[in-house]
Amino acid sequence: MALIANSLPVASLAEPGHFLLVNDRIAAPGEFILHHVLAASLKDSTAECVLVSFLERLDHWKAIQSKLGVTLETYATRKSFVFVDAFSQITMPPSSPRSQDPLVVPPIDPEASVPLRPLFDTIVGALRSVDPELPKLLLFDEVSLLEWLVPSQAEVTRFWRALFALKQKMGFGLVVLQSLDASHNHMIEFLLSSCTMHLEISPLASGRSSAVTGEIAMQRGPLSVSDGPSYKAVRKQALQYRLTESGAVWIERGTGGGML
Amino acid sequence: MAMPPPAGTTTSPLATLLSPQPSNSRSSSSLPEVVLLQARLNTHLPLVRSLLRASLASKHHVLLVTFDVPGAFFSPLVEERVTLLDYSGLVLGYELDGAGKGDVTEEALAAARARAYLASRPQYQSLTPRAVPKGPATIALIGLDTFSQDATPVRAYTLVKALLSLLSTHPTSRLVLALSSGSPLAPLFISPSFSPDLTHLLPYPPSILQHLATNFLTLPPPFGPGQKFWALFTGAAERGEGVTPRTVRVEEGLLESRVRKRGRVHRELGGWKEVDVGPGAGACAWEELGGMQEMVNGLLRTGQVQASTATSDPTADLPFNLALTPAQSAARASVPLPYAHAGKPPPQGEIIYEPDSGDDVDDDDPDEDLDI
Repeated sequence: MALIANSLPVASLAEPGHFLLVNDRIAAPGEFILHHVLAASLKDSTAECVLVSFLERLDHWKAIQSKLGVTLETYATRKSFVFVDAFSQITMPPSSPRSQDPLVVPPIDPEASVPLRPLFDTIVGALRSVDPELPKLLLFDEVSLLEWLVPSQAEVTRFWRALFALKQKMGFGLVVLQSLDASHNHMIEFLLSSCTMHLEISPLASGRSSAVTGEIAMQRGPLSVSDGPSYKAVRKQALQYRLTESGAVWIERGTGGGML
Repeated sequence: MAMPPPAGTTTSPLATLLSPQPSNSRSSSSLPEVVLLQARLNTHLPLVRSLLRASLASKHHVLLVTFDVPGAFFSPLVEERVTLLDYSGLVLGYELDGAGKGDVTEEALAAARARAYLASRPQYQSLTPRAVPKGPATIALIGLDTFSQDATPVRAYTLVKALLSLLSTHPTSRLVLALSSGSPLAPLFISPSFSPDLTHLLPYPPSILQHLATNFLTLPPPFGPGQKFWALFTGAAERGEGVTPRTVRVEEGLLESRVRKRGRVHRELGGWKEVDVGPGAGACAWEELGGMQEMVNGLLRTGQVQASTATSDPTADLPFNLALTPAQSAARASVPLPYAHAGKPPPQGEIIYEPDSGDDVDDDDPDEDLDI
């Protein structure tokens, strides 16, 4: 069990076939969950991580991970951490010169017959570059960009289905961050119907507070197996959290834990 | 076909489906039993598992075909009488070539796509009559919408129709179809030309009932008029009202069942619950689901909903008496009314008209010279 700082237990996410879907909102961003999962997996050596980032460069990830006590360069040289850059080139016009780096996703052409195939192939390449014997974890940062890049809903669904099939075949765990405000309903429902565990991060109903940033609700997904680890992690009540410099502090609802 | 329920109780359609059928039963028709499940967010999967377990308990051979749910999800069910065909890895445009790295040139992609589209029959060639052995059989198709998206809805319908006619040659058989809510294929399978008898099961999260109770003050029968409830419920269910990602539960839910048998349609609201980790989902009443009893009690307490649909007598629960005893009603009848004409019939009414200067009154009959 990979534990996140201060007692939010998250089941072994790198188990083959697992899919953790994290839904956040603009008022309550969920990137900190990805940071915690990445830091915990690398520090405890539970899994090799491949991170596909649509929104931020590697420098941003390095800076925040260093606050959590993880130096990404060390893990990158050891090939336990691979960064797939889906940020710099993906939104460029299709005719622009492509980078030679195999870990940079080439520009997406929405008019192509299978527009997301280059992204898929880059991810496959990244997964093949880590040690095949060890458990692997594939993390996606904010996937609603895909729906805006590719107008065809069928093609985005096919990309995800191919990724799920790859997950079953290669045996890695998947963590996806999706914004409920930026994604279309059918994509939210599609990813939700395929997940084994679901985390929803929402702002407090009473508005902003200095002591509590938001709350997290966790539940089993439709494809979870009832005696799997995700079953035990489900909680009846939402957990609240506060973001600090060194990560998130978890607070049981209605208690003063973490503040007093 | 199903074991007869004990006298005095009615079994829900789900309970009937899940009870094991005797293998040498004389069924009234040799048509396969068609069960159509429609749900959002794959919440029907526990019900599919239970239906297949019930089929295995009735000694059926099971052919399970899945187009989007990974086959590993059904691995607890797999035994020697089960054939699992897992097509979830076949995604149009993402076929991995032998070397593993797909060819990214435009021509190669277009060629791969055309190949996949035209060749969908060879890809599914394991799905032939040979896959279904003789004897009682159940065929379950999961994720038909995904298949119809990659191929065409016509191809999906033809495939299912072929499987249905294949099952008609088997003594007792069952066809289980799983579609998503709002699927364009659903009207094709609901139509009587596909199968005259049909059991249509629609699972929902119980939060829909809470939504109706809070916003419309309506509860299902017997706590309210049935027609009003069904009218509101159907609309709300189709629009997905009261459903957020947080309210979707995988251990229990509401189940609306629409059963068409011999030309009659019977509609019922029940529930399902995971009874144990082993057997899977079982039928229950909707009142037994989490939060439902509190919701009903809350509404009954505020008095906005009555506990029965019979025309409620408003004078029933009062602490004082509004009715008359026979002596009192006789005494009332004998009171003489002051202004009534005692005994005599009232005089016939008469109109007395005094014309004034502006009136034109002619006592002659204007139609005298009319000769018809």
